Amino acid sequence: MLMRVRLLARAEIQRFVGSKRGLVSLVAFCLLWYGALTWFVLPAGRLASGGAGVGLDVMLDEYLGLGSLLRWPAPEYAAWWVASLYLLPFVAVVASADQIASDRARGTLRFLVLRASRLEILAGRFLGQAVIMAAATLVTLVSTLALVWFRHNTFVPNTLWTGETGVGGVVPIVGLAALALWMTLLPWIALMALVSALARTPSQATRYALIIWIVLSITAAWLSSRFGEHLVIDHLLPGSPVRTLLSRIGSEAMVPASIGLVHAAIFLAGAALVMYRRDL
Amino acid sequence: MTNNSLLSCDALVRRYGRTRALDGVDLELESGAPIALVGPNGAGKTTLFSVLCGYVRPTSGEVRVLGHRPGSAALRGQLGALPQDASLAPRRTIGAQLEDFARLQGMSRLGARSERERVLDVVDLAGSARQLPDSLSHGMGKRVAFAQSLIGSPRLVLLDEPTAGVDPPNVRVIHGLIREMAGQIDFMISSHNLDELERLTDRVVYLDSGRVSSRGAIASDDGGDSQVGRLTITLETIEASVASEAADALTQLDSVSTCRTTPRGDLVAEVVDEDRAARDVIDWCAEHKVRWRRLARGRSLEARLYDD
Repeated sequence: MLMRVRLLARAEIQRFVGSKRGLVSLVAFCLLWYGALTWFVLPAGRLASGGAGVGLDVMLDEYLGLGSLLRWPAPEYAAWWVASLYLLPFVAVVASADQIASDRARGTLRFLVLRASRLEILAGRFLGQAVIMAAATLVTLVSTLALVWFRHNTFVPNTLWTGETGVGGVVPIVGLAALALWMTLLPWIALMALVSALARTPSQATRYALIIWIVLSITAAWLSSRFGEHLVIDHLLPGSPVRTLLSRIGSEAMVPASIGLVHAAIFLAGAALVMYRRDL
Repeated sequence: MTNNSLLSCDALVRRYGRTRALDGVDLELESGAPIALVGPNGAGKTTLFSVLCGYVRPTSGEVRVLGHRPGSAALRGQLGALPQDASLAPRRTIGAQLEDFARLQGMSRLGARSERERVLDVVDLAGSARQLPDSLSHGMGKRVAFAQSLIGSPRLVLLDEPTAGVDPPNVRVIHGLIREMAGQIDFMISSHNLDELERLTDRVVYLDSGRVSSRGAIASDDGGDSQVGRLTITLETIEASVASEAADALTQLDSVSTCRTTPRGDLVAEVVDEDRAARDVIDWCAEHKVRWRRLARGRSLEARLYDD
């Protein structure tokens, strides 16, 4: 079973890279991330080192309630964290919207179910998309690290494991944050697996995906702003831990991010039920 | 169910809303010559095919394919299928996809590559592994889909309209392959093209309104030795009056009991001694300058299914 899931995941990655949707997602991601680096991450470093830090402190802390962002060892990391938390779920939704629908419409699934169970196909597709989003997360991380190196001639902090601040080196802070970031993407990929299993055509899956992403993001943001950090909200909507995650750095992000795993499991169970019951 | 059992259906029902696409199908088929699955539009052929492949779940009833439930892991590598209108993913090469199918069936990387080459070679498309599916014609695409159904040399291959929309040269290739492999693989072929099926088999399952019709339950109503006693004569002319006059005249021959025309324009004669009757018919045609195109033993599949 594991061998078939691995094969299907690899095929999903190859299918994604070769498809128009994959290329569009890749180009959109590159453009968006280039924009985020140029107009957000890079200026964040300049702003902090240019003497505007005091005003920024006050604004982030008192007006936005995001003073914790100042705890990041370099402002570029804080900017990366904010940009990625909002940008990558959108990329995940667009990229993973067609895990099942087009293959069902084309009949390709009929070839596959003679050789693998429906659950194996679902798991393989999900795993493939999870790997794709891990690569996207890695791209944002590596480009930010490169930017930090370029500006400071060192990674900040300049040790890998234990930093001067006592919070840890680059790996525990930024590496674990990247892992938490990826974990928050999994429920979106799982949700898209469910949507894609329900949709009749790829375009319908994409429409559903965008509507769901917009509605859930707005709902989560509204609930968070109205009720603040609230365990129940974080447990209900896949986009809701974002607000909580904004105030965490490094390993602190792992706990709220792990809620995403529960969300992912629930959506995958729903997708499995749809896959199991639906005609091909 | 015997060890030789290919598939069995017991009171199989499949509903779509209020419509009963399959309405109590009872069927028991054993290994042997290819099986033709025929019936009018909406008879339930594709639904039955889909149930057997595990694409669609039955509403009620029992189904076994090679002794196993459709869709079960035990059928992997044992059951191949060419579903109607299904196609490979457009942006991955044919070779990569066939190799993946072989690996999913449990073959090693090397084994899968060699199996991919083998099945493409069987359908005479050995050089197309690096091509994308969209670059092939419809007929060649069908042949590739046929190739995927042969991966792992399955015991049973289900073909749903294997030649629909395919040009004559590709039809000939597909027919040739079925004939060639019929000794090693059991085929079940669903098609509207009765002429095509007639060339491939005389084992027929006739489905009508979701049920196996009595006229076709493994029907060759005059199959085997019982075919002796009927001749089908196809005249060159398509004029109904000429055919009708010829039928009346042939009925007068000593070796012919009765002769009548079919809606298709053929003459079907019931005869006592087939060889003698054939000679008499040919002599009569020559004498009366009636040109004939084809003289065959028995009745056509179309006549068997629809003329009674």
